[in-house]
Amino acid sequence: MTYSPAVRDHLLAFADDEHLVGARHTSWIGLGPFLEEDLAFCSIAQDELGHGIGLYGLILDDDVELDAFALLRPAEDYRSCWLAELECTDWNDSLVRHWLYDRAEALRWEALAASPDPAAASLALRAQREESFHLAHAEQFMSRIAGTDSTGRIADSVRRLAPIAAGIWDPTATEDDVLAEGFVTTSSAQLAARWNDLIRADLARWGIDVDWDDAGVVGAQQHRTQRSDGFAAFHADLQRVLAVDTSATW
Amino acid sequence: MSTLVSTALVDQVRAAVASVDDPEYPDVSIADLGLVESIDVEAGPDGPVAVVGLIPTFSGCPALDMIATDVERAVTALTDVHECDVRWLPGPVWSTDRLTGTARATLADDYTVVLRRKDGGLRCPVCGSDDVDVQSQAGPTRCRAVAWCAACRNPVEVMR
Repeated sequence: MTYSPAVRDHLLAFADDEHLVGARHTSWIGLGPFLEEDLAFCSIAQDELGHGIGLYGLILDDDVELDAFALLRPAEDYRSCWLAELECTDWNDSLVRHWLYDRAEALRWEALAASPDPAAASLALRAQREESFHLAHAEQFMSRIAGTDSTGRIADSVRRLAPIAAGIWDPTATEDDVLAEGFVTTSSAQLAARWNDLIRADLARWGIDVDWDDAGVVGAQQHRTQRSDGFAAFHADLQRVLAVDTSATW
Repeated sequence: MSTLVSTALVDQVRAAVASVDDPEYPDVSIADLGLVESIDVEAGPDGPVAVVGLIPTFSGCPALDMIATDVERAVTALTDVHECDVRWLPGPVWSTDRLTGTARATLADDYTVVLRRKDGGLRCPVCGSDDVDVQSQAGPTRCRAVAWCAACRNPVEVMR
């Protein structure tokens, strides 16, 4: 499939987000707070990595090696948002990120499912089915933790992470062209407004009282061309095994 | 691309693909699991090329590469096929509706894995009770949840 550079960049941003948030989620494998949660988080991570592979598959030519593209690009060629890159060493941060991210991800798939491009739309339909499990997981966990003595920690995570999560809606520099082409019909700004309503409604339903500074990281991300502080170390970690022998077949 | 390929060869390829079992379930064919979406045989410069279109149960299934390799091996073992091109298609969306009766029976009898009925209920494959509850949506693989039969006190898995 040949896409315009603008559409390619738009899909790359989503692919990089899925890849990196999936990779970050995997850091909890074997360390989840209880067995079922370990399995659930691992499953969600696998889905996000699978979505990343699917999205990369849309934009990559057949002769491009997926692993090399996904892992060995120079940092400036990534289009990820900072929430996906963020290292969450506390479980409460990881849980809150998962909820904030998946609320947004579902809206992004919904927009893509309406695309006139058949490959992107069918990938989105499959992802939507999987995303329903992720949202159910977030709802089940967050609704149970609300009202416990951990509420304060969750609220603190939301206060710190929601402004970073708003960076999901930082569009690529050429999003106007993507809309003009009709590849998608909903702008990031429109999705951001819906996302904001959804997450605030979730918090109200769970009885978690928290507010945050909306300023966020959107400006600093510069249309997703700038990497966050922790990216270099994360990138090196992701490359560690592959870099041992880049010509090896794994 | 020329289509001077006999339907007999397409049938051979179809049978070869169907001979591949899911790595998680020996004796359950990927065809019976509903993973096979399309089979074409095209005339290539060096001989017939089989193009097999598959769909995954879940995007993140780690067995996809293994399944593709098994299909390629089974199809290229046919003397009349020169090459096999396995493609994971973006659609349609897999669901448990795609499972054949054969797959459902083997999964229940040999693996204690069941599917939800149309009414949403679950029947224990061990004792036949309907007193089965899902304990964890995430199971040992992407496509299975973990349930528990209160009647016979056996764990049951639910393909989702």
